[in-house]
Amino acid sequence: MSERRVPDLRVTDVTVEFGGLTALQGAHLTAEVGERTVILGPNGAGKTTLFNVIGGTIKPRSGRIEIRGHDVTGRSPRVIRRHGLARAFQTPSVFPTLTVRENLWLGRLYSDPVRWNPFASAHREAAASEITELAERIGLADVLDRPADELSHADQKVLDIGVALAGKPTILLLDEPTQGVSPEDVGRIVSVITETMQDMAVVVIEHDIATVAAIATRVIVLDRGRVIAEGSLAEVSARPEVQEVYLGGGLAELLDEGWDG
Amino acid sequence: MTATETRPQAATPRTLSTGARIGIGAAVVAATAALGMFGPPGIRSLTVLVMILSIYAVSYGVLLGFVDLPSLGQSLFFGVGAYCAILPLTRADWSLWAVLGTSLVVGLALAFVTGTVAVRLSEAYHVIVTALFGAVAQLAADNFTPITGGEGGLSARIPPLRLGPWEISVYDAVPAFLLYLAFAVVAFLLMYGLVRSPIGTVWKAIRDNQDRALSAGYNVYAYKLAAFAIVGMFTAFSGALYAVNLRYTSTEFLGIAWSVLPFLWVLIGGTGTLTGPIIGVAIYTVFQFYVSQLWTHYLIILGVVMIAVLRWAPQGIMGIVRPGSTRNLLARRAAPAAEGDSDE
Repeated sequence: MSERRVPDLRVTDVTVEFGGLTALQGAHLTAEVGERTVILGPNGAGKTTLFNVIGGTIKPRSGRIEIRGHDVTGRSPRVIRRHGLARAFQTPSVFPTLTVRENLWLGRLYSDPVRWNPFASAHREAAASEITELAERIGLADVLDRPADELSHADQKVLDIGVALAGKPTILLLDEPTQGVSPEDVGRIVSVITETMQDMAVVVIEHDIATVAAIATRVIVLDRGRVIAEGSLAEVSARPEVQEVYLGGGLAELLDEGWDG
Repeated sequence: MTATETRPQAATPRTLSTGARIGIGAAVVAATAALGMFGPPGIRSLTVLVMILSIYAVSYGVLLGFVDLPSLGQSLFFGVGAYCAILPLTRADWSLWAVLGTSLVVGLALAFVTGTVAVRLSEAYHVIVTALFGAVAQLAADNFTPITGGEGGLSARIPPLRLGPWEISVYDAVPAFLLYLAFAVVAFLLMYGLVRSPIGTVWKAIRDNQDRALSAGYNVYAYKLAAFAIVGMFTAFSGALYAVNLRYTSTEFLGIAWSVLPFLWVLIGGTGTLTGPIIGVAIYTVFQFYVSQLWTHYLIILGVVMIAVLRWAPQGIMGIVRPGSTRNLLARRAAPAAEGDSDE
């Protein structure tokens, strides 16, 4: 009579339609703390839509989203955040006029009772040492007092991830964390993902195969709103239907040759 | 991990130290008090108007500059506050504390109730609906002439304010001046504390990127409603003091003009600051007083000045005095939509 473990995140049979267009068709996904799941798939496969459904910004037509057994289908982004799920966005979504320190602080203030205290000093609260430590871990310590909109694109991507990290989520969704970022900054972001998120269930949308190879503990391939394969990157890339999606076997060749781009 | 590269050090925005802020604030308060005690009566009564209306202006500065709620119906709270002060005095033997307290409570409650609808709406609808609230209130007040006095208004004799062993009469110019100054300073400090508290940071976060604030776990609606209600309370208090100072109120105080004025004050002074609206209200009051003596149609000049400000100094006076401290109202739609960029 061993108790069956409830997954940290379970998405079951989710269908989303925009007008007549089916963006997701029976998509499913599970994620566990300690795993880094990468979602692969061509443009239009439904990857960001899947994140939006999980994050609560789109309501699915049918299907179910559970966080540690709690049904959160169709709940608001705020409620879903309170269940321990945080996101970073494809276009960095930060608070542009606020400083990096304030941005990171806001990432965790949402669950702190002081958020409604009119007599507390924001300046003093945001000076907490955990914020400084987080900034050091993600490499933003030297820009802590700069407004977010003065940061480079790569730093804004990192800050967006930092805002999500600051609230110590158990589930973290990262939508193309390295998009539009120079090769040396990709390395920085990859090490943030692999070094600071061990105690979280991380789900990442990522195109770049070298980056996928560096971060993924498992891979899911989405095509036209359906999950067509899941497993390790090697297993998945050996599947003919995946190779078909990726231009007739190009993916496997890339993996064999290694990727230095 | 360590920082991988050294980033160019940008010019950090100039911010004043806490000591400098306290020093400047104390100097301004002392200079204003001296002006009221030793200045000529004309200047004194003009300064009283600036002080009373600064409560209105600063609270609107919070609403527009920190929460991004461009209400065009604040005259509802200003006018109701004015009636809260005068109406009980025409019919019953209330104390001045009682009528001022009533204006605070009624302002807060009324703004809370109207806010439950108004703050849910997106920008354009928020403007329309709040303007509608003000218009309906004025229309209703005009039709209840037996109570409100209509356009002719109501006058009352203002009782002295009891403060421990002292009594301050609003008919004694200097004590009344100091009383208004004290109210203005307390109101300013309360609002200053509020925007520097965690609540103020969440307001700014919502202003900057509402979608992100939601996905970061904040109850955006509750924060906006709190702002709307608190600002309504201060606005009603300002209206009450304005009516007490005039010993008079009328339905004109509920009119759209009194909703447009705070917008002008904040715009002239600078959005996103608390000192800007005070500068704006001071400039407006002085301008109105002197130019209206020269030319009846002074509002035309004011309109031209407003267009000039929007065209050449959209960040207002504070944007010139302390660049980087204000927000450009015309260019504030910079935050990207969190969802609109998907590749799906």
